[in-house]
Amino acid sequence: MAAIDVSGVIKQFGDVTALQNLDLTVEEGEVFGFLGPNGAGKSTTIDILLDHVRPTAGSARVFGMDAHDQTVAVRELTGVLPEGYGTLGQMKGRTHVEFALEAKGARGDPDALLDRVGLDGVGHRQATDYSKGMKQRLMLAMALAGEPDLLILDEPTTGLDPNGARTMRKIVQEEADRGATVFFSSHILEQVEAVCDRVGILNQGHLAAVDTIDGLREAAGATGQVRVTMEVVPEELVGTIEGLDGVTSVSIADSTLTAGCENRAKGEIVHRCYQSGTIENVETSEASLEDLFVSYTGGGA
Amino acid sequence: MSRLLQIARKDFRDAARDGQLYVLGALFLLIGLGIGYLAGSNAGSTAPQDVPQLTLLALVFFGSIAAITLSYNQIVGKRASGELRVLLSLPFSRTEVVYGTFLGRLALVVTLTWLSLLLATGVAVVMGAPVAFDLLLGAILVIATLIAVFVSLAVGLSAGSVNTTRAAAGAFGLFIVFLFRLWDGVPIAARYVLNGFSFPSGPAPTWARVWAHLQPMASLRNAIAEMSPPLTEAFGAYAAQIPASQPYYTEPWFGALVTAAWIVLPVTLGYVRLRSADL
Repeated sequence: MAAIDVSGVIKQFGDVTALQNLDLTVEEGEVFGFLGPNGAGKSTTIDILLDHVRPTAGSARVFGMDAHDQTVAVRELTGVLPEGYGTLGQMKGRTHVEFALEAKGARGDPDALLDRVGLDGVGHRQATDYSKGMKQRLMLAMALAGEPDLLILDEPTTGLDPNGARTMRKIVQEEADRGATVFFSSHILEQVEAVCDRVGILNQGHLAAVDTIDGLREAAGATGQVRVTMEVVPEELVGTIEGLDGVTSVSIADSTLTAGCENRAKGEIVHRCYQSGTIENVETSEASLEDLFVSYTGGGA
Repeated sequence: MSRLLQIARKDFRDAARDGQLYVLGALFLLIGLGIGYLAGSNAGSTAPQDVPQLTLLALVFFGSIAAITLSYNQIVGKRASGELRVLLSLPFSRTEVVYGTFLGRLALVVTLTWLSLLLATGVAVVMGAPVAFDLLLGAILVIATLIAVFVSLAVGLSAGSVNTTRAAAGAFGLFIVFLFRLWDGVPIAARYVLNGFSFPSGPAPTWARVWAHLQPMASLRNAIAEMSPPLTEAFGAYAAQIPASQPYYTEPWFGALVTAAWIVLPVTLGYVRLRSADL
């Protein structure tokens, strides 16, 4: 059974179509990164899974249960870091976690949860006095309460410092190791790359691509590149390198030759450059997730 | 059920750090102490019914105001702050959020009003004034019922409003309609319009007279009129007189029914609106 199964979901807010016929399946135990530019419909999708908004058409199921009709049962199995959250009234940080544990009907040590998200020692303070990053960590601690089978994290690293972002990645990994399914949205690509089994790229309300990151790289044809800076780039070198196996493009700007190519061709390219002149620098890179992102979402904006 | 009570408990506790609660708490304290002292310092001329009656009179006004001001923002405010998102990401249903809030606020405001009644009685008794305890018990039940009506109205308003501005306007409307008797003006306005925009002459038609007794303060008053006449005087300023003919719509059973509807329906209507809303 799929952890998340969205099928044919359309959501319109007035004249605006937020989701257009979205189909999406996340398997149990998977860490799924939900990528997309601002306004692509990521939060709307999550809101539908949690029954915060209702689809205009189509259906969403979580562990086989209808996200609307059985929303409480869905949320009993789910830990959520929602978008646009607010702290709960006038409660201390620790009380928040206790409250979440009680709501989940779960036993658990609130202090251990606070520890895990890096809020040790501040649980006795009012959550309204927390900084944005601390509130974010607190919400994560509440999401983790009761060892949920599914974690839904909406932009979990927004507002976190680099340490916080690392803690977040570590926790996602730990939860996945425990067997939980993790579904999180982000527009920060590196974080998705670091922890996700699969990635879905949402653009203008529909899924532009869904695959492993390696799969996406292949499919998008963005393989990688090598940039060789030379004292002087001989004209005839372009032809030579274009002719090599695995090279897709060659260009020269100033004294730098840039070749789009598969990894296995990189050595040969550098070798040919070395033979024909003095090399000052070599840079090589894989296609970044950003290139993929741009290639799927049309770049604009 | 346990999650409903979890929301109710949280709602009650939230009040502890709410600034306006302390202002209102002080007010109810003063009402209790003031009336108790007044009765106690005139112990000789105080009748046993005076303390419950007078305190209820004060609480009908101030209790209703407290119920509205402490409740109208309880759900829409959470919707604006994002707290509702967090609650509805935990396994709470919207039913539990609305009715739990209703119960929590009801407990809070009822506690405040009971504080007044008990303080007034305590001070009066200590200073030697007589207090009718059956009427005190009556006042305790009557004020709790009235508070239930106004908390239901205000929580229903809060659940059904899309933003805090509208809820605040609605709360102001509740004051005007019920405490400043705009309710009674409705049939007059309707008859004025029906009469071709001129004032009608002759006695009010039956529907206009029924209307006056559908108002919650009138219906509650009618419900207790035979059981406890002294307490009905607390409602005199807000409810139409009971006609000598005692038509069915002023009978206690009818009043009890209407009052029950005022407790159940407003919060439920608000819930129905929230149930179908996108957050």
